Amino acid sequence: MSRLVVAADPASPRARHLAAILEAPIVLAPPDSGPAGPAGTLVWTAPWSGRWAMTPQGAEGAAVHVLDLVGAAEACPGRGAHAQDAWSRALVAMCRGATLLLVGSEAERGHWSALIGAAAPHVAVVPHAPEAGPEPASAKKPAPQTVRISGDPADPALAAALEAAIAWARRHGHKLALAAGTPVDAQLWAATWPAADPTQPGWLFDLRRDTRLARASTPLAVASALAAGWPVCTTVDGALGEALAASGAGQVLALGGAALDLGVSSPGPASAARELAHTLFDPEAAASRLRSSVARAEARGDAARRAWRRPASGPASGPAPDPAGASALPPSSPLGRDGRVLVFSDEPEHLVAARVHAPFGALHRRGLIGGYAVMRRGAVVFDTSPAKATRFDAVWVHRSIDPATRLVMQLIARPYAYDIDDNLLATPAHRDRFNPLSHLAVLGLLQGATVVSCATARLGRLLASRVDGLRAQRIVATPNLAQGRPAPVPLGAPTALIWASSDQPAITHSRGDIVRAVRDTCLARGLRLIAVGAAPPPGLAEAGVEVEWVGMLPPAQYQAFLRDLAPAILLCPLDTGADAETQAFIDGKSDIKWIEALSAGVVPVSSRAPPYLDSDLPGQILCGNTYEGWLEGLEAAHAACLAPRADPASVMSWPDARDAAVSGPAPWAQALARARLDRPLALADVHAAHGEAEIQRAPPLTREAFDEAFYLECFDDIRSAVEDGSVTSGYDHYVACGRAEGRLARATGGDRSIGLHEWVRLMHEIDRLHVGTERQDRRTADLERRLALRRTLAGHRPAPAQLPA
Amino acid sequence: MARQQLLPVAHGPDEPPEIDVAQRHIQAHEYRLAAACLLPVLDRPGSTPGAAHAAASLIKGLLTADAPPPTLGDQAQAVRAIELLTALSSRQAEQLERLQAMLDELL
Repeated sequence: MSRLVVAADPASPRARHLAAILEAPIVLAPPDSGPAGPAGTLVWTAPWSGRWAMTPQGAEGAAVHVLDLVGAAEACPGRGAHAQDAWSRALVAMCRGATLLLVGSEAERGHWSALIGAAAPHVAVVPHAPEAGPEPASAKKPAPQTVRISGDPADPALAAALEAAIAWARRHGHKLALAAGTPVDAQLWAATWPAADPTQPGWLFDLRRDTRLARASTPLAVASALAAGWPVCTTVDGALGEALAASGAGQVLALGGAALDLGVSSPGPASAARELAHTLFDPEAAASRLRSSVARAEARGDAARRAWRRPASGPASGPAPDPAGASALPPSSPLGRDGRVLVFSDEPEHLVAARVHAPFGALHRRGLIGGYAVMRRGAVVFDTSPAKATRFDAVWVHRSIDPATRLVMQLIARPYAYDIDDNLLATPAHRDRFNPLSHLAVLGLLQGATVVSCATARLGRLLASRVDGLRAQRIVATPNLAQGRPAPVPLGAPTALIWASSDQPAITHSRGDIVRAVRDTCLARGLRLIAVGAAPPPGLAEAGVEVEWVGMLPPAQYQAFLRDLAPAILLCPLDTGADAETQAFIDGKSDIKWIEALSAGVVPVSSRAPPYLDSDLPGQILCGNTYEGWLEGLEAAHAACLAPRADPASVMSWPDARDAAVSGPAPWAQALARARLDRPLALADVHAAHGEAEIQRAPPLTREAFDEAFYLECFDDIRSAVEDGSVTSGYDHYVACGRAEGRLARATGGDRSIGLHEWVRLMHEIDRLHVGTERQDRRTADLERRLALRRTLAGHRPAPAQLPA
Repeated sequence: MARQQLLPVAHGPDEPPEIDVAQRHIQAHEYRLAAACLLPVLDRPGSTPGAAHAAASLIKGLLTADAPPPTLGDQAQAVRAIELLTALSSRQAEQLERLQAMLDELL
């Protein structure tokens, strides 16, 4: 089978090595010369290469995505525990999108499998086994040679080894050079040392901390050096060290400077290093394992695609497609019958249920889309396809997303639809202010979206009035959908008043009147008040009302809870006549509570507010936001529960435009059609972008190590923002945007950043110590002088009798 | 102060050979290597006070002279210099204590 290897860095020796084994041409990603074709494409990504390889057009869902972890152990782009954690998260994210993982040894396999856990794809041990270089022409007279430094030479823990290596090289007249693949501070050393010429004879000093992972792994620089016949001196005393010592191809260096300096002895001939390379890495076995692993990965991919294309007995969830019901929808499916949607949602479950599963589930059940998947914080948490989908035809962003997800959106740089069901640009008075960073993010999402999906037309108008460039043509009103039929209200006295809100109820100055009316109704009718989600209003229990607070419930459980309570009355208060910002938020809300109540046989009583006045759902009780208005409304609801039903079968039905089984999904399909991608998006690219986002977002300081006072002292604007509560803390600002803006930060403890202030502090400390030691030296010299004088005097002291009078 | 202006370093009879090496590095614009070469002088028990001071002065000069923004490598060297100077200061304090005790005994 002819193959094509796609790599972000085609010049990488590792990529070229793998391509040579597979006898496949290697191209830059994405390929310059048009689509690569779906068959035989192998996308090679190495975490240390700096960027990932985007899947070429036409190969989405068909390529084998190889994540090459050989060399990843020493490739962490930072130093310290927090940098290691971020690196681990990045690797886990990238692994989620890979179909084949390459490691250098069995020991490494164990390490990575434990780290990556359930996200681990198939793992193959394919160490780097470069071909042996040419025999040096002047093997008998190697000097002057090149001493290459690899690993992490700027690590303070390795300072002694570095110093000794430098001193040794200088003493023997060798040139110093930087080995390829030194990630940390490469820019520092590259400015000082030239890159080594691999064709010239020399030494490799592998300077790494002696950790468990370091012992299990063999860096690419070491493998290449041995294959080229270079002696290797390493600071890691593991299997590699033992093999070096036994073969005479190198040695393990003690970290003490003097020991290292003395310990470097003449190595064996270059052939010893080459033989060791052959023994350790066994090129034939590695090549064989790579070929078979890639073939198996391709076979697995084919099988998954066949399973996906098979006319399934039904999607993973929900009933089989119902093309008959599609008559009220647009004649063609928005993305094609196989079209799939990738939804980014970091929102709570109840919001995902209403704004993702309800509409997309309906479109899927009716066969208008091939399926959809929901990605939450880098992991696919829901997929309608039994075989994991690997390519998508539209991207849908739901409401507020995490900073990491926002970065992923920027990295993949594909068109998207943005769905919003609240006016998140307003600042209502009844709740804490939205985080200004979230506010900016929502603004950016609205501006960048191909199409904006709003729960109501009024919300669309409100948003358009606040976002430059958001024109009505880009907005589609996508009402919340109702499933099944409305449930009849059981005949009988209501069991309770229900105060349900996932957030603070949107009432300010009306609160007193509404709560008093609720209190008096409960007391007069002997009803209890059940609060779901937010806490019940204070004072009711003290007034003698029986109050229960059940907290937040998952969507399905909440619906079941309401059904169990029926007949009951659901309170839907919303402020009217509030200040402009609060009202702008309230007016942007939807009538979703009515759907929840009517689906469960519960009677909703609502404020006469725009979201309910605009609603096309029939037969509800609306009241003005006064004590009398609510008292009257609650009495009407009580009476409605007791009123006999003429014919239970004639229960009202949903309006067609709101019914998921009729034409309700039509506007959703319309929005999706406008967000259709010109070419599919590979899931592997999204996972790789998540890995990249983790690396980019990794703060150089942990919250514990961050010097909050210093940061706030340096930046007045942030201090003001923290003081007025618009930013939670200096650290949150630093992580979210301060770092990207280049603001200075420093650590409080041992974890030092490279901010200018920190640098000045270090210099002051050096100066203080220098002055101090100089002073002590003067005192020492003075004491020694006095001591010598005293001894002299004591040795030549005349007898008392000889002393002059 | 430019790093090149650190030259020439005054030679004295008790100056360690690393000063010469550091000078060569400075001439080759290898300032960080120069600082790295000088660090062991601070840690050597047998270093004379003159050697330690020459090394500390030069390290301080190399690290503080006008240069590109400090990097992690510079920082690592600065931290190492602080560790070594702190150790040197402790050794000096012990030496002072010993000398003072001997002097007290003689008095």
